[in-house]
Amino acid sequence: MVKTAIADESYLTYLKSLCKPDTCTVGLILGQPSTGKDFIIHLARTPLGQCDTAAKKSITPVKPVKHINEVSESVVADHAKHATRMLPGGMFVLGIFVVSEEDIFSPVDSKLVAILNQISKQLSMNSFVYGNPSNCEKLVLNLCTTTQTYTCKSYESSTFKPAEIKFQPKIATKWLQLECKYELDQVFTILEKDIGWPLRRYMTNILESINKNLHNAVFIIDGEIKDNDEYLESVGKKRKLARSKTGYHENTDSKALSVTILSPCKAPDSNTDPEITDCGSKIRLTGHVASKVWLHPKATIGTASEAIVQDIVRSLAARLEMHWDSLIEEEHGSPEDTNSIHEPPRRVLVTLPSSKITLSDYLFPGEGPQESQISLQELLDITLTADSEIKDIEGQADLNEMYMEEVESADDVLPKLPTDTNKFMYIVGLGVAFLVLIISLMVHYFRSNS
Amino acid sequence: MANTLKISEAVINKLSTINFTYSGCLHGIFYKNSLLVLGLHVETDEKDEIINSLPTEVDICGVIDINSEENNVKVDDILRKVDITDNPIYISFNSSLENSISAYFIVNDQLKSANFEIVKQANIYSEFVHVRLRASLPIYTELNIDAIKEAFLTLRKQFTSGQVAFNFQKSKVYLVGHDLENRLIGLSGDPTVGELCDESYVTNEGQINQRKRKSGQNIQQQVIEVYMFKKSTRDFPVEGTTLHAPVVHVDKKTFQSLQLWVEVDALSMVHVDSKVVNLYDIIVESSCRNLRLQQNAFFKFFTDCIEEQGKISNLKIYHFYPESCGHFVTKAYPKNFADIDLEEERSLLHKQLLLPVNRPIFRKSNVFLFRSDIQIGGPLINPHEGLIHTGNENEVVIVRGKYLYYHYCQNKMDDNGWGCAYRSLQTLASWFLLQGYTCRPVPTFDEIQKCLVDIGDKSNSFIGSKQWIGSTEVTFVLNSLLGITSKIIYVSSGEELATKGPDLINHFKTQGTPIMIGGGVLAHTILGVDYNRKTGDIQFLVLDPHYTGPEDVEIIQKKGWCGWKGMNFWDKGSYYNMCLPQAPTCI
Repeated sequence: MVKTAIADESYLTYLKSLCKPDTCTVGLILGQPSTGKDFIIHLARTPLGQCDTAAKKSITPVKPVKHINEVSESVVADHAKHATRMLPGGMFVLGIFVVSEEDIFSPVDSKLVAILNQISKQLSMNSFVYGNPSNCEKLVLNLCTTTQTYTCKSYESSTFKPAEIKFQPKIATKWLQLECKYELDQVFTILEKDIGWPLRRYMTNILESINKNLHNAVFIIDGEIKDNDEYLESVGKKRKLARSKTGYHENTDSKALSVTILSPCKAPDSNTDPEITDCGSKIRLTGHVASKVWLHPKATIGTASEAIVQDIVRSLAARLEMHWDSLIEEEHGSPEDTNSIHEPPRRVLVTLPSSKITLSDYLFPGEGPQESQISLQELLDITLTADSEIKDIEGQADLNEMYMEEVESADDVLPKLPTDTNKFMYIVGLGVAFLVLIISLMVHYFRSNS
Repeated sequence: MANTLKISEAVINKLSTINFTYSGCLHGIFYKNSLLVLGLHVETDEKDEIINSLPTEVDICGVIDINSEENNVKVDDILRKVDITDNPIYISFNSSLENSISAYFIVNDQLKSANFEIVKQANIYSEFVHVRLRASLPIYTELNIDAIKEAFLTLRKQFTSGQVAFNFQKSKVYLVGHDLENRLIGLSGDPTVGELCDESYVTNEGQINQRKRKSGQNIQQQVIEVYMFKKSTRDFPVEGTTLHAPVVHVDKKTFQSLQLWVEVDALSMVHVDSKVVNLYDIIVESSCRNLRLQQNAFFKFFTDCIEEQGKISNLKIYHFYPESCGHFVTKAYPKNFADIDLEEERSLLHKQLLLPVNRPIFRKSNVFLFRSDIQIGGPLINPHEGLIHTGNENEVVIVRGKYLYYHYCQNKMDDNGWGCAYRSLQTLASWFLLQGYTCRPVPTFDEIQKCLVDIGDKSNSFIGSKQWIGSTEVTFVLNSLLGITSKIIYVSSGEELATKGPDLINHFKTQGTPIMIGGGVLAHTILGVDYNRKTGDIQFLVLDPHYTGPEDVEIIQKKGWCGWKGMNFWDKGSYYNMCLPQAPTCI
């Protein structure tokens, strides 16, 4: 069977707009794989030059690439990594497109193979990002500017097979939306012997446990629990039927199905005897991950649940990666004995112009929609018109409040040990009191003078 | 408010045996405008919260004075002791006045005389089912008393926060909340608890056969197994908090941490007509009771260990169903404590619940066997239950409590032709295990043979052989492995057994243990006797270890492998030895 994918016609127009003489453009194909056909949701050309979203540097213009040979595979792979972070669970980098003067398939350009392999390698680096879908096939779309025709192949284990991409006007894919708010409120203890590890290593273990828990979970979708091989479409059928009988019509396809995740309360099979250990520190996770995934109508309950898991874990892994990337060297280990609060960037949602599907972006504390506009432009080649298209769905934590709480809770547990923070608060408190005193004296002085 | 008062037969029976003066509290359950008194406890000098040991929905519903001479009842005192606010009851009982029971509802601080109806145990358990919640919850905390208390409190909060869901019988039925629109998933309509127990509602492969099988309990306890799930997603924001994106708090300090798995195993008692959706709050309450029970036990047993770095062990929940108590009693015992370490604990319970002090009731091996605890394919429990006996107006006494049916060819071992006395011995040993006299597992053939060699009764070559043993060897093994002494009764012929009626009646009345009988080449187990003192007619309830078939109680009863036998069952030509194990007096 020939691998097929469908895409909106507007993306063919997009590809054609990239046809320029003496230029070769490479980009990513983003979408959702399925057993029948793949659903392409977006095409985004790879920015020339170094893309560094974490630091949000503007791109220095580089002279255009003339031939695929000049394309750096690591740049494309890096682009794939950054783009994957922005995709909801169940969506992947499906492959690449190449707009070039020559036909890259006859003969197959060795650079093309190098790029594809580098992408797969890069995406498998952090398994929690869920970069590669379960089948490793990658699509390659070549638009030859000289003949103005496009060819498509699928690449798997060093061989190219024929494939087909259909550009359709106004594809009526009825995407089903699922959403939930995944709560994090867990404490992890760090053994005294592991105290020297960088924070990143602890967090990898924590992600591992979250990932494992999610894989054992039971998913309630819109109030129903169904078998994994049933179709997602079947959720709510009965109720919809009942509604239509009573003459009540609702535009159901625009409404997201809410997901409740239930984790079993089971002890591990291994030894569950009480353990007393010497611990070096505690890591506490708070807050929530807002998750929203989109699935094609023939997706099964199993696929949908998997997409939710991927979305939550990918989103956490992505923001942590971005957080580590933004830290300076010393902050990684933080060997000194101070408590700290790490605030990774938060998730915002951006609606794709061609469909209702939302992609994610991550904003660091203090960043606003402008920053998001830049990264969207850069990574996904999307130009947003207004700030309102970016939805802040998670909310920024109030760190000041948290520091205060931390101090209070420290007080509860260790009433006799004043911490540095405590002293600090004390001094700040005294300072503020003193300031108030001076101001009131001045007010008093000026008033009595006047 | 309750309109009618019902009292369990168990309570009436218990009261009739009491000659001392006590004051105590009544355990009761409300349903359908009735208050049903299930049991009671009396006040002792040692204080122990008994409420956490009761199934949820069973509450302290009133006060009882037993053989009290005082006539002045203080309503305020009563109200202070009870948990319920709507019309608690007061019962006064006096054994000297022909066991008279006077019952009163307290209405507006006044005693108002109440009529009551006595209900049989069997009727209670056809109207009520038990819901058993299980969950394993981790505690990670600093190793100090305050932090551990806080951790237990956090666990309780987890239940009351609404962030939990319950799964019934490992089916696809989930109860996810008490105020949500779709709170019951997997069942349509608004079913009752009784309907949930019905096979057609919850289809669960493999459980159907099991249910038909007699589980061997005197009273068929219907139990709904519930497993807890934690909601990892939040449907509605918590009031007073603002949601925010994930934040990582790193708290640098060195401390000793305690990691503990708390195994919640909580019972609630509910009427079959209650709605399944109403179970949510009941199950939550049962888990809180269970956690309080465990917290109290934890600090009772391990406070010293926390301070002195001693060995902390897990707690395990034990549900007991003492027959004369009328309801379940739940205790949390440390896994590493032997029965001897817990004697004080048990002694208090015996006193509080006015239970006999001559036999174990709350030892670990007295634990109630729920259907899900019973090993499938293992030896049957009490296969004589359900036998129809047509002994006419004779005196019938049978074995007390539970035993396992051991017979030929079990555990893939072919002992056909030589192992019958070993099997009978195993049945005897299982009785002592299940009655809590010992925690020693039922001895294997190897252990039996080794024991006989060790005490010098047999030579080394006996181990691994297929040699028979007789009632003397059974006596030796019971004595050296379980510390049980036995009486031996000898008869020179099968016919002479007829004269032993009074002895056997007396044995089952006072000891209640199964008897091993050996004669000729055969060994059997006698489980009961039916004796007519006037005519001398006698029948024996015999358990035959020579059965080689599957563990199917229907075949066993139909083909007479367990059944009532007349005198003709015994061989007139051979002599018989009976080993009558004596139950020690202990708790």
